[in-house]
Formats: sequence, C-alpha cells, structure tokens
Amino acid sequence: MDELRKIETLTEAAGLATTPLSAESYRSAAFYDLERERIFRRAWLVMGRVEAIPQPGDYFVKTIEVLDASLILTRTKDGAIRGFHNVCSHRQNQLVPGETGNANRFVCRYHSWTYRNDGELIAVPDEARFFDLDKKKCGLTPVAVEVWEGWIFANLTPEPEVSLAEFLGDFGTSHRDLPYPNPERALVLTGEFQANWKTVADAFSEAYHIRTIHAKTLAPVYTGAANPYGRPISAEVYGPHRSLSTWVNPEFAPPERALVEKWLYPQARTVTGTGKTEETNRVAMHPAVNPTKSPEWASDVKWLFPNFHIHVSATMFWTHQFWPTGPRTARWEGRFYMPVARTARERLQQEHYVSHMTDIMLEDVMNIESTQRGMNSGAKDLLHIQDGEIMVRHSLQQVERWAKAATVREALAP
Amino acid sequence: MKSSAITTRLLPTGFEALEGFVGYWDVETSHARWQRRSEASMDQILAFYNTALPLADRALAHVESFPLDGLPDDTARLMRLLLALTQAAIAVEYHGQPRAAFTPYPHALRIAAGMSPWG
Repeated sequence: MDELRKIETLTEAAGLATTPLSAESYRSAAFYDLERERIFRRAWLVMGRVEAIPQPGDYFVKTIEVLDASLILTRTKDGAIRGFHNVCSHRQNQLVPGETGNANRFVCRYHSWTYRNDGELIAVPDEARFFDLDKKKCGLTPVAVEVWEGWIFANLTPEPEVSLAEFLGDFGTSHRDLPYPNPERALVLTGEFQANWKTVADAFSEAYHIRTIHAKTLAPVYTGAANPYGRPISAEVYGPHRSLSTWVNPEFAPPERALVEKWLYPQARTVTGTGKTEETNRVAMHPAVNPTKSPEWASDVKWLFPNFHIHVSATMFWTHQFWPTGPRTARWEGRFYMPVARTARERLQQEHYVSHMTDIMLEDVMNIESTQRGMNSGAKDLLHIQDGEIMVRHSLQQVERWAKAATVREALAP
Repeated sequence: MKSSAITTRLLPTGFEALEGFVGYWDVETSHARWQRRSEASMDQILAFYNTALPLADRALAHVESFPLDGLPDDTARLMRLLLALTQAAIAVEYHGQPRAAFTPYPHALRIAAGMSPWG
C-alpha cells in the first residue's frame, strides 16, 4: 500500500472539501420536500434493464413513492421503450395492478377503458353517453424515457430540462461499452427501513465499515495485512455521479473449515465473483473500471445520482437502489445478476452465493436504523467523514447542491 | 398416527440417512431456506450439516444423472436438501452460530426473486 501513502487523499484529489458535514438533510421534513421537487422530480432515474422487457408488449410497473407515482415501462411494436403514468384518463384509477407482464393493450379494471401500449386510448364503453369526449386527447400521459447502455431511465418532469446524455455527462461517455454479463436474470432482495434513503445508500458506499460489520464474512477478502482498513484504490467524481474502486486482499483464501465452499468451487474465489487469479476480460480492461489498473482490484461502485449503484467486478455486476418513502423511511432494492444455471452444480454455487450474500446484506443494514435514530435525536449536528467515505461526502454535497439550485443546468454547472 | 408396514421413501435409495431432515429443510424457495436456517438451533444445523456433507458428492452425482429441469420427485427433494446445505454451511463455516453476529431477527429483508429452480 506504499502507493496509497504517497498520494494525497482521494477527497482532496477530487477537489472536495474536507470539513465535517451537516446531518440535517437526513432528518428534516422540510429538506425532504426539497429533495422531492428538486432531486427526484428533476433527475433522470434508473427504472431497470432493457433485458427485463425484451419482447413487444412486455412491461413492468415501477412505483416511485416520493413522487406518488406509478409508471408503466413497456416495449411497443416498433421495439421502442416507452413510459407512461399508470393512470386511466377516465376517473384516474391506476390502470395496471401487477408488476410485470405482456400486453398489447391495457384495460382499466374500473370501466374497461382500453389503451394500446403506445398510450393511445382505443375503446370507451358506451362512448355515446359522454359529452364531447375527444379520445385522441385522452391517451395515457407519457413520461420522458431514455436508454443508456441498456439502462432505462425516466424523468418525471413533463419536459425535462436536460437530456439523459447531458445529465450523465462525463460519466456517460467514460462508461460507454462497459459489458454487463448475464443481464437477463437477477436475484432480487428488498427491504423497508425506518431510515432516510441516504442513510441506506451510505451503508453500501464505503469499505471502511467492512472490518467491523463483516468481520467474519467479507473482511478477509477486502482487508488484509497490506491494507488493514480496506482503503479504496481510487475514486473519481463526474459531475453529480461518482465511482470508487475497492481493494481485494491478494492473500485471501477461504477458511480451512469452509468445506461446502471448497466442495462446490474447484478453485479459490470470493463471494463477489472476483477471481483470486488476475482475470483479464472486457470488464476489467475497461478504462473506467479500476482506472489505475491496480492488480489488487476487487470491484467498482458506480453511483449514479441520486439513488442508483452499479457494482462491477471482473465476473458479475449487481445494483442497489434507494427510494425515499418519507423523510425518515426508505425502500431498498438489490439486484444480483446471474446466468440461468445449466447444471445442478452451478445451481448450488448460486445458492451458496445467495445464502452468503443475503447474510452480508443483513450485516450491512443492521446499523441503518440505529444510525437514523441517532440522527433523529438531534444530539449532534455534524458527520465526520474520512477519505474512504468520499462517496458519502460527494453524495451529500450534490444532494445539497441540487436542493439549492433553481435549475438543473445550475446544479450541473462545473 | 397408525403405524404402517410400508415406509414411504422420500429420497432416492442410498440417501436414507437424510430422510429425517426432509421435514424441516426441504422448502421451495431461497427465502424459506434462509428463514429455516435463521430459526434453527446450532445443534439442528450441525446435525444436518454433519450428515449431509459426507453424502453431498454422491448426492450431486445422482442429481446430475438427470436433467435439472426434469428431476423425479425424490431426486428433486434431494436437490433441495443440497440447496439447504449451503445455508447450513454459512452458519457452520463462517458465523459459528445460526445467524450473523449482531444482525436482527426477524428483519426487514426479503428475497423477492431467487434463481431457478427453487429460488
């Protein structure tokens, strides 16, 4: 780790202040109102992967509690992905009750108003008894949707101030052509917490906690004699977005007593899918992944403002999304993308991964609610953030910036 | 319950030692498996782990003699026990106790979708 000692801190290198931060935005109802209008209504938000709706008619419904919104994301006959508010034009009932499906038309369960999946209203029972009803004006309300690198984004401003490309900025250009292996299927974990969405997000944004929280599970992988505190390899900020590269212990080997693990895996591997031997593949070679090309690289955390993490290792990727449901409550969704098992051994390897990952996530979330209670108490004003927690710092700084900015362009200005 | 001369075999021949674990550990989803392990005592987990591990290689070979999407009922049950063994393993091999240290139970996490089959 001599290399790490020579450089200035990642925080200073990224041009960020080093002062303590205010805890107010984690507990204030007034600030939550600002976040709703100035962040979640103005930012481009990740809805999911294009592979979730491969065929025309495929759709999924996304709930965005902070905006009281329910969206239908669907693929139309021409192959385009479209987004609509999930609201019938008649008496405003929510149109689609389910989460996923395939339908060329959506029929409201109240009075059977029927829409094509491109949003057009095509049938109104007993239409003759309405009064000057113009069906052309009563289609589903569209939502701005754009796709970047297979990620579907939506923007809840009726006419977004900036395009997705402008919102992503340098992050978007530098992360072009990054492969996402096995994007068709994911293990999905969910949780609802008595905690602000940022409290939840912060828990997945640094490796400083690993030696304490994950002492028996991840600590032997992500900390070691050469880097006892799991300091990150590198960090970059890209406008409102950011990326962190985490270190892997080259000395790691599964414990002697991990007999099931040794039985299932012919060679040493780690739970995040990082091979012990240096792997050369298109993910690891991508210039924006582990940009210093450290041989002791575990995985990258790419944090898309405001609430989406993409984690990439040499062999797999996984995501976290943090949705506010109130000033002091949040919903978390983790997706770990994996191939369909071809053999029983592969299926068992996956289950081994699942059983370990779920406990690791449980270790991650165990402090979330107690941290929130500490902040709610108002006993302290400040958060002391160290260098390895640079993403927590940059996130909060950007959240406060967007909450103050009158326009998105002002928030995005250098 | 009346005693019966005919014993119904739940598992393929050769895996009789695991019959007693079917009732508790044979469940359909990853989330249910996680719950079973989280609610078991360490003695229960160790009894299953110590019986299943020496048979695991032979059990997997038996399961792999069929296509994964066409397992006979008894073999599917055996496969689900192997899936449950990975749950027992984290308790025995990492935590040294049924659940991770300092984690709450019950908790707010849910496996909303697992991997197929029986995820």
